[in-house]
Amino acid sequence: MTTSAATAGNQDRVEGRSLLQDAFRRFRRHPTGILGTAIIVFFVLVTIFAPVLRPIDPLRIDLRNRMLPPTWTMSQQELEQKHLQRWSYPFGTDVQGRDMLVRVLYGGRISLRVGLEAVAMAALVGTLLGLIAGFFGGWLDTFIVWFVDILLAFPGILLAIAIVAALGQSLLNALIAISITYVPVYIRIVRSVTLSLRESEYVQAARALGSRSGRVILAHVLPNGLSPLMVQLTLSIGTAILDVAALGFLGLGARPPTPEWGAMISDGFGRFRIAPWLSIVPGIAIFFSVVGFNLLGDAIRDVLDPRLKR
Amino acid sequence: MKRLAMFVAVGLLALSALASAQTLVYGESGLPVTLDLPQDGNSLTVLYQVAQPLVGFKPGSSELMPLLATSWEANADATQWTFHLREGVSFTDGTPFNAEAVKFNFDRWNNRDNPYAFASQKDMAAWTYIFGAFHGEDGYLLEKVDVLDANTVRFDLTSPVGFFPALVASSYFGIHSPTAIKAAGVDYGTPGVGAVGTGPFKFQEWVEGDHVTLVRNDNYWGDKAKVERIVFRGIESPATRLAELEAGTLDIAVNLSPDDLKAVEGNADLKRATASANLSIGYVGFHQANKPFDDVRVRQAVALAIDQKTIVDSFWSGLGQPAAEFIPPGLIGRAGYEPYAYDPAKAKELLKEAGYPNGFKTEFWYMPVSRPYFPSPKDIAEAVTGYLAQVGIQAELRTEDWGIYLKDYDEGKFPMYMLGWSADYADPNNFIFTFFSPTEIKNGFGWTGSNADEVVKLLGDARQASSETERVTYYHQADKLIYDNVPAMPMVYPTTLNATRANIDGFLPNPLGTTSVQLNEVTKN
Repeated sequence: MTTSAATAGNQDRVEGRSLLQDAFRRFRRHPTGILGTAIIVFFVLVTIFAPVLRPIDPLRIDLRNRMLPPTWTMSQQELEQKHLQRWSYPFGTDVQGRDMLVRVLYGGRISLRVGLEAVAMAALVGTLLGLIAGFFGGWLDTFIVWFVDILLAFPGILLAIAIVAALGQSLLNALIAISITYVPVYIRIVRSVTLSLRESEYVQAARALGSRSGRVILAHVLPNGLSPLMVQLTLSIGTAILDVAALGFLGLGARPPTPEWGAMISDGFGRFRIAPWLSIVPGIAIFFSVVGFNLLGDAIRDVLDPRLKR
Repeated sequence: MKRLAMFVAVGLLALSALASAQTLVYGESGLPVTLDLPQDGNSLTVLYQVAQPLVGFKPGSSELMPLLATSWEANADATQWTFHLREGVSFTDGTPFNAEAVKFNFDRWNNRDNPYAFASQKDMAAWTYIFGAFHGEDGYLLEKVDVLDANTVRFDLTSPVGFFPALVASSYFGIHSPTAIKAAGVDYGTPGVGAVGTGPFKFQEWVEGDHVTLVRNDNYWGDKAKVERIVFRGIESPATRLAELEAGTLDIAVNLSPDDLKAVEGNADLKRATASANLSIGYVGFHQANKPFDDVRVRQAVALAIDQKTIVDSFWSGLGQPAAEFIPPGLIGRAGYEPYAYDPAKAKELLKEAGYPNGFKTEFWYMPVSRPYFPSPKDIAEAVTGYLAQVGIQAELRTEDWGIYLKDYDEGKFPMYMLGWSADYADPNNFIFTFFSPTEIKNGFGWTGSNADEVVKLLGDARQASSETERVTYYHQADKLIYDNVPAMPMVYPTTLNATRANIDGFLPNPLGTTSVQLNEVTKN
């Protein structure tokens, strides 16, 4: 698939259109891709502008108003009793009487940031190791593949739990743990692409002309291996957000009182029958953000696949 | 698919058989760990139905009443206690209950070299909670047990203890059949063997990870049990225990979350079963080896900065009262102090005086497990740090595995932490001495100096005081020093929320909780 992508790229240039331009044209006609992007853009914007949209401290405790349901579901009488407006707390309040809406917004900052950073770190390390393994081969390749096989022998989340348990509970350690569990996937993808590209004619030609390995990798191998990497990147962000939440739910991520989605669900877990919104609100946030990245990932895969080109 | 359907059908049949009118299903947070000198409430509740101590509690109260001993008396300085045993009682394996059996039990608990102590396999730690140490070790209390005649035993103590019958009444010390212990050896008390006592129920089966079944002892010396059998089930989550109680698959559910009080009270099928008050306390401790908690003004500032009443009202749903002293209501020796009133302005002033006008950074460790004295530790800890932040104290919330937590607590690693205590026996000594014994005052609070020495001395004097009036005077003096120096901030005297189905009568938790409640009077209509 990748070799044909490379050839397709060359043909594009003949027509005067780059692969990316072409992909973008196709993306604009991809409805689920647009939807995914819209969801992500929405999340990014509301979390960035959270302090403007909802100027309330997400850590402000108000025990007198704890575990209020979303205020628009309350009767007029209840509202008056508690001196509340219909839209005082659109998503209700948590066990400390903190505003769920502002907490879920600030939680988005954490989830999106950690998801992005973990995946970026994993992709960086994985790409580097994959290129080295695939391009140079030999004992380095054997060693790296061996390392990948060991990491892949553990279920991802278990490995992450073990790493956090060893490093100690903190958001940074959760990020590192998730990142480590994602590295092998990138090594595999990049290594397999590199292996096939290494034997391609234009790489052989570049080498024959005397290009050094570094230049060959950067100018020929990496750009042509980008598309599977892009797809994996987008899809990984979605799963990374889920993994951050899973670790948070287990009490292995952010420390309280940080508003992290997984930890928020865990807070509401034992109270699901008396205050379901405690878990439902962050649950919905996780759902939509993951769906957003998955739709986008699928769309990117579709548009980058040159076989779809007409 | 067919096979699955069959399994489900058989399972349902088994469930309905269990749920018959003659079977009481009792849900606690876990199954027993052992029935041979256990340390945890889940085990003790089961054991208490099978093996009875010499002294019991009046239903619903912490007042002592005769159980296997009919009467007792002390010598003049309370170093020798004589117990007269109930006659004509047998263990459920036919072994007669008598003075020899009592001596056998206490000897194997007290002496590590007793052949039936199985010292290399069983730690018998619960013994040391109440009796200080094993025979011959530093601070041991029980010198020896003598058989005076078939139905009279005498306990010789190393120092005077006026409340000795209360120690013997601890639910740990049910008397077991010596024959059964000798026959089972080190396996006594495990799922395959169970335990043999004189109680209203006898052990039938223990399916690990599933349930323990006790059946009525038809030869019981007292009021025979009203139900035929009790099935104990271990259900970890309080929300699940409540859900099962509502569904009718449990008859009794103990240690529910205070958040669920409304759900219990609003359900006509359920009845609340709480003690009038529980002998229990939850507190926020300081360890003075960690700066700046060596400064009494800082500790007072923390106590003033926390809106204790609001926290207690919020997280205990009215099932707790703000605490001010380390002796809970219902016991003698309370001086009657009020909790430090919420006053953040004054707290800031004290911090300024202490040299921290902008507050300081510290760590606040919260328990990883829930206990009646802190039903949702993390939430309560978050609320506490929220109040501290308002006076500039930035407390980072930390926790760790419960076993390590208790060890680190003991080593003074926590600047600020949460912990609590529920009574083993109904005496102030079980509270104030537990926290401020010569070792604990250092380990738990890092409190040294003349005030600390004075507290230790007063509590030692109180233990040995000959009259109650004298004891109370010592406790009052110690209480004042503790209240003024704030080695810890008492947070709450909690009441544990238990509930039963509406058709259950006669389930009366007492101030010590549910571990020393005999279930023979419980009826299911």
